[in-house]
Amino acid sequence: MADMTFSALEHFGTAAADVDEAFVMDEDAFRLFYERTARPVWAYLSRITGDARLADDLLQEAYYRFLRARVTHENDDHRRNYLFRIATNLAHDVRRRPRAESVAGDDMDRMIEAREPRSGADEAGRAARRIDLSRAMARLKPRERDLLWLAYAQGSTHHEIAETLGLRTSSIKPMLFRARRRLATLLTKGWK
Amino acid sequence: MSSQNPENPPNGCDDFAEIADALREDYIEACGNAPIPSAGLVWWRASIRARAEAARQAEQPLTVAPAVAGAAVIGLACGVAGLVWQALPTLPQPSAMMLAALAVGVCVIVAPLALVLALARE
Repeated sequence: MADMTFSALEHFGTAAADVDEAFVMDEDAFRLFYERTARPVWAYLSRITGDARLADDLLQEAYYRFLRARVTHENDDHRRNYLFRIATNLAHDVRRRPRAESVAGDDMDRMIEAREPRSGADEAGRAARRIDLSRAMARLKPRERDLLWLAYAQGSTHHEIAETLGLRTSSIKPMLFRARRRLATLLTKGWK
Repeated sequence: MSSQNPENPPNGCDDFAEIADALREDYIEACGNAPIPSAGLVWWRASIRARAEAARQAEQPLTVAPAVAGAAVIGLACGVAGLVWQALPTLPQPSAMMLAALAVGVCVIVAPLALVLALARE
């Protein structure tokens, strides 16, 4: 920085001023988009990684990458699918790291324990059912987990799932069928 | 779901509807309890990071330029030295004029190099 010329300083200042232009949308539009998408994205990240703290970090990273991506979107649905695609890729990158081995194990167990039933028989029954489901989900392959969450938790269409996961729409139905069958088998066998 | 009968795996629509309901409930609960930061905070962090990246990019050519200049000076010096080395055996004996020219040449090469190094140190 010591040998920075005046023109370089000028360039530096211009670069900083252009930051807002470097984002794909302005702040007001971002606020609206964020309010609509942040909670589902966090829920998706926390359930597919099994780590709530990691989901916090990945959420920020996903929005940053979304803002910096120079991609034009036809409508809000495309924008949303693109954001989920970024989130999916981030979660996959985390899985590829050595720490990923523990994601579906210890971290998922901690997350499940945090959701143990606290009061009321009915509430306890429902919570226990969800815990069984979470444990079974943790035993699925990452892709199966993504598919089932998007399809049945979020209620995404096959086309939306395909856009999010970077797959062909026609391949979603058979993949979902296999994932459903595997989840059902795991639930039948019970937690071991 | 833990009460599913192992003899009758939940492959049917009714059984999976129960699983889908549980997933949906989990989704609603997760969304409701999601500890998300405010939109303003996420925007602010992204802006800070984008500015830092822009600054890093703006700074990059400045650190490259002295390195390129230094390499060019060293290359030139090597070339001149080679020419002088080739010319030496053919010379009967070094004249005072030739020694003076050699000294000037060395100064011309070394001076910019010294200047670049001094500025880089500052």
